[in-house]
Amino acid sequence: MALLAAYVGVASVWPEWLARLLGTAPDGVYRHWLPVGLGALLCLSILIATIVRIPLRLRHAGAWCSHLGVLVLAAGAAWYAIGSVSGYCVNQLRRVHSGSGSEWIPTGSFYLNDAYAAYVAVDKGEPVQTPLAGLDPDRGTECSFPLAGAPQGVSIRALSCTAGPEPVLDVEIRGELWSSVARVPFVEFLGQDDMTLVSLPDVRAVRLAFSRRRLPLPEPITILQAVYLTHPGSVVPKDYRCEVRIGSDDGLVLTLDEESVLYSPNESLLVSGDELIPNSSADSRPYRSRRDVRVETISLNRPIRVGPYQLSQGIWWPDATIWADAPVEPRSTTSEAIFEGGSLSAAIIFEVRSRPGLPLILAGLAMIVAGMLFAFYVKPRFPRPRGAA
Amino acid sequence: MRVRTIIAAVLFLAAACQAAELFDESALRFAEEVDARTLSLLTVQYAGRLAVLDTVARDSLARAYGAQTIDGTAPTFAYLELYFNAGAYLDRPVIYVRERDMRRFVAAHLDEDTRKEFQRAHRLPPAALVGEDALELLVGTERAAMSDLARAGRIASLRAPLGMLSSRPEYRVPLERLSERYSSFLSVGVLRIAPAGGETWIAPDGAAAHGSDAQVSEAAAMLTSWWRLGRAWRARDANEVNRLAALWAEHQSSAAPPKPIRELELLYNRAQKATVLWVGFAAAFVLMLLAVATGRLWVRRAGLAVLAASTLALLAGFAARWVLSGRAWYLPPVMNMFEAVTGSALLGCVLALGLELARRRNYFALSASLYSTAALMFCHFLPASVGAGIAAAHGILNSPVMAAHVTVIILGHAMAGMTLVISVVYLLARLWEAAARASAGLPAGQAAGAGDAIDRCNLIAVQLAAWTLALGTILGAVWADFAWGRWWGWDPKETWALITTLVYIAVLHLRMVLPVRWRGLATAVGCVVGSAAMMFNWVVVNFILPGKHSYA
Repeated sequence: MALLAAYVGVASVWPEWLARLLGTAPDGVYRHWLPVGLGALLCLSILIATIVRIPLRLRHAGAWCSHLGVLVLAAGAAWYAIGSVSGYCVNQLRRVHSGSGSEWIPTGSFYLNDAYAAYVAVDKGEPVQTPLAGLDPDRGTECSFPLAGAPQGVSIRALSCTAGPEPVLDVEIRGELWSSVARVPFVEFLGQDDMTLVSLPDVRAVRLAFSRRRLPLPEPITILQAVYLTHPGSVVPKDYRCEVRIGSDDGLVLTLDEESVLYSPNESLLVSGDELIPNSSADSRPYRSRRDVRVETISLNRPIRVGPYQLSQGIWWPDATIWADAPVEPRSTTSEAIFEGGSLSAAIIFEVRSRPGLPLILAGLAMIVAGMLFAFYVKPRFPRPRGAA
Repeated sequence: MRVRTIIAAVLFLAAACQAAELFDESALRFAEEVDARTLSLLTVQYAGRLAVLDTVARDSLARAYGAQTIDGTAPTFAYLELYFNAGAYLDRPVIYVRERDMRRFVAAHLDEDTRKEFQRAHRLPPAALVGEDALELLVGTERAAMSDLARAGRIASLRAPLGMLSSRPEYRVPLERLSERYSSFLSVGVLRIAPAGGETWIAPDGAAAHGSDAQVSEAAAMLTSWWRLGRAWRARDANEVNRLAALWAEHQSSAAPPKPIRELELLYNRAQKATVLWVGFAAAFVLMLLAVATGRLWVRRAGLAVLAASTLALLAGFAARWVLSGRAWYLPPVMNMFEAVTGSALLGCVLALGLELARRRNYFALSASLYSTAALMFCHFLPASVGAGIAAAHGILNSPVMAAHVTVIILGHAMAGMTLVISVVYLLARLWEAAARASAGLPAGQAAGAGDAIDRCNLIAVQLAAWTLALGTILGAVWADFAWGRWWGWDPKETWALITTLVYIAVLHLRMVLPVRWRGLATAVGCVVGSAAMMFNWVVVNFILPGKHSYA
């Protein structure tokens, strides 16, 4: 335990130094085999000590509970560390040229936090991703990944990744009689204009990108309204709040007296309990949403669930003050301001995470504290066994 | 006779210390005539809430001047004197330089007389910092005449070192901060003093930005009397100033908080946000120390009475801050460093008094009083570093689980602090006993008597520290899961909370495997290590290491 405590203490104060010493990335010092091994040894010693030294009697229930709680916590934490998926769901705001203002682009996928992929698209087609397992743009590695989505008669292969402030993936494009190498820069989140265009000798063109790996969300989500609240007369954030429609992105299906009504994804809705009321029209009759479409509010301390994932407020880009109608010195007559978009290119990023093992973790934590309380304050009330010191 | 001489000497010294540093005689005479109380109770929208002008004045003076009052005048008077009459102080030492290296650098480049003055007060004249824009603003708002500027322009002795400083990147940020501090006096936008309906309050030059509805227009019209107040102030017309102050109080009455709440804020400010209570806790510590040394019952009772009275007063300050902050009922004032440290002192004392009633030892009260003295002295003498002002909390802190997490953790910190004091007392008792045995020619033996009693108290405190720190860390993990989307992230704060908890758990395990004679010593040494980890987590991690706990 002392060794583990010393290790994490050093890792928290001098992570870069420790990472250099262990030959790992600074954020990998806690995932290195050394602390994991020390943790496993600690768990083993707790298990053995509990069985060997603590009698199985009610008097010692606290010690048993706490020690087993540590093991349950360790099991849950290991499950969480191995099975958890974390990433970013990027919601982009798009200027509408034909209409007024802007609209939120529906999102059906999210970007993984620590997995990367190469994307290939032919001409104007949809990009096809190939996961680059084990590749880390922070460290740079040699690799040889054949990339999917190449046009007929052409093979595309990722050769190496160069680390640095702007990582680059070297990609070899090979035809029957020719070959070339393209340098594809890393982009955090893949936008439509972020792909590198490579012209092939036969007039065709491929677009390449190097970004985070994308996974589909169980249901598409669309932001209906984003509100940034500040405390009155201050720039201190009070809340970041988004009304999100979860479900089909073909339009929101609502029912009124058994009659289905389709609303465009861009129409703002007010939510009152289960009732959804079109915000902009004069129609104020209560509509009820169909089960496969729901509107929820995601705000600070209030994440939402989409399938196995929890979505919580992450980054409001650009800087949050843009989202308020009051950059530095609030000038509006209200502290609540609705972002209209205008010509700004903006995005709201939700943090996505699946949380396997969390019930085990919480149970372990509860067992630890309950056991301590029993051992400290209930156990002394039991009569001591005869002959005990 | 000797007593009288001493009192006279003390009074003389106090009078000498209060000699006017900044304000001239006419300003001091004017301060006596102005109704500072009415002005202090005016309401301003400030830091996300409605505060009294006294709060704004104290915060602004502490930031810019390095003290909450000038020459013994009311903080509101001093603030408004610099606000309305800024031009008169362009060449006077107003801007406090906190950074020690920068002070040394500036002093090294000054002529002899200026250096002595600067080294005494550590303050610079605003003219040495303000740029052309600020000077134009001064003239535009009638807060400086051309004669003021001409007079200020003569302090070339400061311009040279400051010019050199601005070329050095490491001093550019402190220099900019100094300029900002003075700009807060120049900028009328800081003072949102005119209610304009709903949550909107308008600053003297801010009406144009708020549209032109009826309430805004009324507020804008009212603001002309603010400038009249400024003119009367510069003309030293106390009657007109008092009349306009009363007019403002009347105008704000419907939108401002009730008068008892504003009076409470004034009282809270005057009591230095209850941090002056460190004196009471220090007195309780001295009495409890005497009680431990002499074993006299009346000394113990006196010590407990002083501790209880100080705790009650601190509780009143805590409740006042809770009311004034205007936060949700489930968010006690434990949301920043100042609130956490004072809250920890309060919780530690309440628990210690309970333990004293139950166990009748002196060590709980002794340790809690010393811990609270240190905590409140820290907040009293470093208010700017710990964020003593009441401000709106970041939205992510608005959660009952978060409030429970911080409350339990700071209780754990209080217990950790108390174990340090009890452990040091135990170690001193062991040393004392060993020395006594050696001088009597007796062989070294196990701790007995007082040593055992201290160890039993320490064990109770260690158990409390262990489970409160564990529970607090767990509540933090539960909160982080829904607030940040992960239950554990190896953030330095989380890591060191875990280390601190592990140290106390290790201490408890050590007691089970060591022979009886070594248990007390091992516990005491372990507690010193545990409290060092706690202090590292609270001070070094909060102020130096980067992490996600920066709201605090």
